[in-house]
Amino acid sequence: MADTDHLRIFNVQKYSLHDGSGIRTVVFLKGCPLRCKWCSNPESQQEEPELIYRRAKCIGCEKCGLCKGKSGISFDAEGKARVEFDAAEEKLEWTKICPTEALSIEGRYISIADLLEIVERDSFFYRSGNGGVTVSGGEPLMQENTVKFLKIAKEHYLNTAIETCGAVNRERLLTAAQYLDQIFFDIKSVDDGKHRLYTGVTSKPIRENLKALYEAYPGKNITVRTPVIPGFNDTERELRAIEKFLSEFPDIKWEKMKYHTYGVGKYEMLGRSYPLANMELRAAE
Amino acid sequence: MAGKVYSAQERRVLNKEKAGNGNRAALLIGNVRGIKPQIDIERGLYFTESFKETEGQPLIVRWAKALRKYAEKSTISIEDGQLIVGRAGKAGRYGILYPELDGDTLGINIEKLPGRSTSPFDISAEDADIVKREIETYWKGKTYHEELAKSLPEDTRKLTYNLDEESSSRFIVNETSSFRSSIQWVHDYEIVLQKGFNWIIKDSREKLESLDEDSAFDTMEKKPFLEALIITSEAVILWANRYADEAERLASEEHDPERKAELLEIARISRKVPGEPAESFYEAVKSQWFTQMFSRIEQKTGTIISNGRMDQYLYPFYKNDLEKGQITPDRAQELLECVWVEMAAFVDLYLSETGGAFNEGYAHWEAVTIGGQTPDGQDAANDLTYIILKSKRDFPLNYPDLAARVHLGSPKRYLYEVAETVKDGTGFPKIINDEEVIPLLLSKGAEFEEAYDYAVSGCAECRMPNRDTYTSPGAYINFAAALEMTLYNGRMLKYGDELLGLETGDPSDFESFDEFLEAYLKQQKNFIRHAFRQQYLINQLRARHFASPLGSSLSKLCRESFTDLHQEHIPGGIDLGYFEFIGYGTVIDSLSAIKKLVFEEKRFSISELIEALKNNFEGYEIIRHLLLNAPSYGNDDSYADEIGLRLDKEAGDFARKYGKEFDVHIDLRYVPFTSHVPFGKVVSATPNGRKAYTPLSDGSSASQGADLNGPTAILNSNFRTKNRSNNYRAARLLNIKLSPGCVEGPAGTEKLVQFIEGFRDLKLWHVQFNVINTETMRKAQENPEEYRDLLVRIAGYSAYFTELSKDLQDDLIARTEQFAI
Repeated sequence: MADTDHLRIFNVQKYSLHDGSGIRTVVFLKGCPLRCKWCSNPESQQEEPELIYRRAKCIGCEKCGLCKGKSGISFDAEGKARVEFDAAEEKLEWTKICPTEALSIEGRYISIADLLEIVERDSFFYRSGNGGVTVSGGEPLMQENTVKFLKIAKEHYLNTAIETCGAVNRERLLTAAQYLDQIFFDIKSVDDGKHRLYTGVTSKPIRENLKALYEAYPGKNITVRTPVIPGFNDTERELRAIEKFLSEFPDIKWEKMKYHTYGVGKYEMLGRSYPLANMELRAAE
Repeated sequence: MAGKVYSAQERRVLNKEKAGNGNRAALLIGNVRGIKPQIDIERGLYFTESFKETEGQPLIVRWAKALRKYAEKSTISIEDGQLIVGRAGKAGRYGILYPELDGDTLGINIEKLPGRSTSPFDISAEDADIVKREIETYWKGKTYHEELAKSLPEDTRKLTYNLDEESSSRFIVNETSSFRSSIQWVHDYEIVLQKGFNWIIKDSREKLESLDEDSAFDTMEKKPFLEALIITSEAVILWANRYADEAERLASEEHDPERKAELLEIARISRKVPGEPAESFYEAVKSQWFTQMFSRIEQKTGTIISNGRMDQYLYPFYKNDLEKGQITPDRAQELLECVWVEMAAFVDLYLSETGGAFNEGYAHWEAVTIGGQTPDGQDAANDLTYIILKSKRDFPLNYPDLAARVHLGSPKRYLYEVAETVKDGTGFPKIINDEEVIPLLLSKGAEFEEAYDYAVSGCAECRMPNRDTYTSPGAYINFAAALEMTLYNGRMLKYGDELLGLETGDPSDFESFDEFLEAYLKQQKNFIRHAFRQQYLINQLRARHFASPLGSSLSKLCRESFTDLHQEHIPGGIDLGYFEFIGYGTVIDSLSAIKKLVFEEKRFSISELIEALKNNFEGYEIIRHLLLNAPSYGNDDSYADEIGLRLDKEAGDFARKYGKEFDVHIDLRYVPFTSHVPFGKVVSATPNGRKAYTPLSDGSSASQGADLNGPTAILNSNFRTKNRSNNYRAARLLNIKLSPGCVEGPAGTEKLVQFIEGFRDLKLWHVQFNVINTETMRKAQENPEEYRDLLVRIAGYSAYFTELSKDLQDDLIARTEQFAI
């Protein structure tokens, strides 16, 4: 399915108010090089579409147990489906048969043209507040076609924004930046060891990318975002260190984001467990 | 974790704060708030007495004389502390009787009223006895309602009424002309403020003197018309003077010097207006109030007589007072709030259960219009506009309804203050779009200055006070019933084997969705056909039953043509009527589900679907879930929206073709009041997964809980289902429930303004917001005592949540709450 004109997305969120100027449509792209232990969008991490099971929606009709791929399905005491994610070879069959969409596929391929059509449907709402499209993820720049999409969006005079983790191919980042009006760039920690422990990668290439971006595009509207995670970077020392690093870039805005646990339930739906669950978490105020 | 965000109203309710900070209006409202209304029988009684005495006389004269009798005999009372006087009933909260409408069923309905589930009223045993003995007995056999019921052809009648004694509504092709004697209306108040009723008397006398005695037309038509205008004008002046007498009497007994001075000022002004022109803001407000109150006594206007463009016609008086240093913004606000309280005291009493169910929560919409454009197309916002908005935030009360006009040139301040007021969470103001309304009025024949100067009237309609002339109420059509009849070959489960619609065939024989759609469209058209037949009779019969000398005296065209406002045609007028499409989302989603699941994906057969529906989905949970997940209206999904466009086109084309015969714009509208609840009660389970006898979708909003793509998608769907090339269309009512978190802080206000601008640019007619947490409504259902002050937006109006029926409460809770992501 994947070809030169397609993107892998898992959601298109209209009427987004906190991801750039004005009223925006956010395109969530699938795939991320990071594995942040607090990630609230675990469905964004894997590149390929994957099975998701929303137990709350299951009505216990057992239709899924009757179809070809029944080997991975059993039913619990409440009569609801229990899914063995690893054994699920016929996922697609289940999701086709499930009447409530409890079993469904998270993620799909969409052509750039179709995506643009969806984004432009809200054009009336973009006008007055510089609204437009925001690419998010996952890491939107993991897919080469994201740059192509941004280029075409710009040709359509759309206001464009990105939310990036920064751990991306530098050349791609710098190419994309010419088609972007606003950039939200995550700096989670400047401590390489800690960063690797909590996200799987070090901070250094991310910091270097920010520097390169800043130098290549002076005056660009860049906002650095830091999710403040209890037990990871919520100490004064950690935050001071980030602040110090950012002092090199006087034009850059800095936003601290509150930690939330809205995404916890999704891990179970994907057959995974929440990485932070076993860790000492100070109560988030 | 982010804390829960509450609207200003929710915070007030949670903290048990009182609105208004103990000011005058806040004290006065204590006599009204949460009090069960009483029936005051004087209006019904004196009208009946007068009508007994005037049989055989021209109708308009009889009406004028009845008003005169009321002005002479009615009880005059002034509430302590009130600055605005003129009321039609007892202390506290009251409703009055209009026996000329449906007085034949007074006895039956009066007994039901105190215990009715929707909008109950109290009446003393003594009064109930007078009603039955003296009022009902006179009107039996004479009312409009009875004549209409008798006159309808049999096949139209059975879609209109049940076969019971009181001809109660069947909620299929529902006529609304027998629970109100006019559609929503707005007067030209400016003429009263600027010239006064003495001018109308003088003008009418001059015209009387120049009549040609040889002309039968002059003597038989013009003369009674002019005499009626004189009698009515004298009556309203007399009535105001009786308030002056009472104020003087009270002043003579008053020990508090401050109140004594207030009473003497009330007396002075009541002797002056509305007979003479007003010269100050206070005089103008009082003149307007006497006029609208007397209009309420004259007749039952649908949703009550509207206030028109208050920020426009009162502004010259305010400005003049301000320049002379005779008024402050606070004083202006206080006077307006005194008027709001009097409006809240008067409750629009619907005797029939049909009327009550259409207008739950004691609904009335004496809409106050603000903003918009001046007659020469400039922005119209002024200081008074902002005072009225501020009053709605400072002193949230469900009356009057507030309508804010927006246009391309609306200043930022105006849009921001409107958004701030919406954020308060009480549902005010509703927003009406000049960019849609004005071109439509122009295309229907208005001049630019008339179209720019329109006033919102009632729920969502717009009137040009000196150009509009059509007052006949229109049909509310239950198209979900048409859908049900398509499934059951012209029948409905509730009514068994009775053939109500057309026999369009057994749907299990249909081989394609197009066949099903064609069958539905035949049923849809059949309903409209019967609605137009109703309308034909209604137009004729109303002219024989109702007259409006006061309303006519305030219409330039009526005065010029010596024609009563309720006559079928008035020379020079533009006749704008309508019929309502009820259950739009329900029908679209049902058709969409059938198309997708039965004919395209073949998940089940139409017979299996019908079995599931007949069983109200019991044992058919799988089918229900598939239906609920089918493409639905309100998601900017062309699959569903193309079906909506087709339904709109067919209904609009019918109106265009056959409205012409009436010489009336009988336009397609989507405004339900609260009727989507009672209409739902006759419709069994529908193929959109809706359970039997639950509410239908409201107005042009999505089915409850079906809109999952956010508020911009709701607006886009609305935009894409409208046939803009046909001007036989009018209001589309749209409800949006926003979570307070969506509009939090200054950034939230800004995004709300952007959303409103998007609405404006899409040229949608109407939008209104509930900014509330669904959880708050659930709590209010559990603990009504603690949430008595909670206002919610319903359908073109706001009402106290705890005064609504459980059904309507559930319906509001089921509307999708839109979160920002």
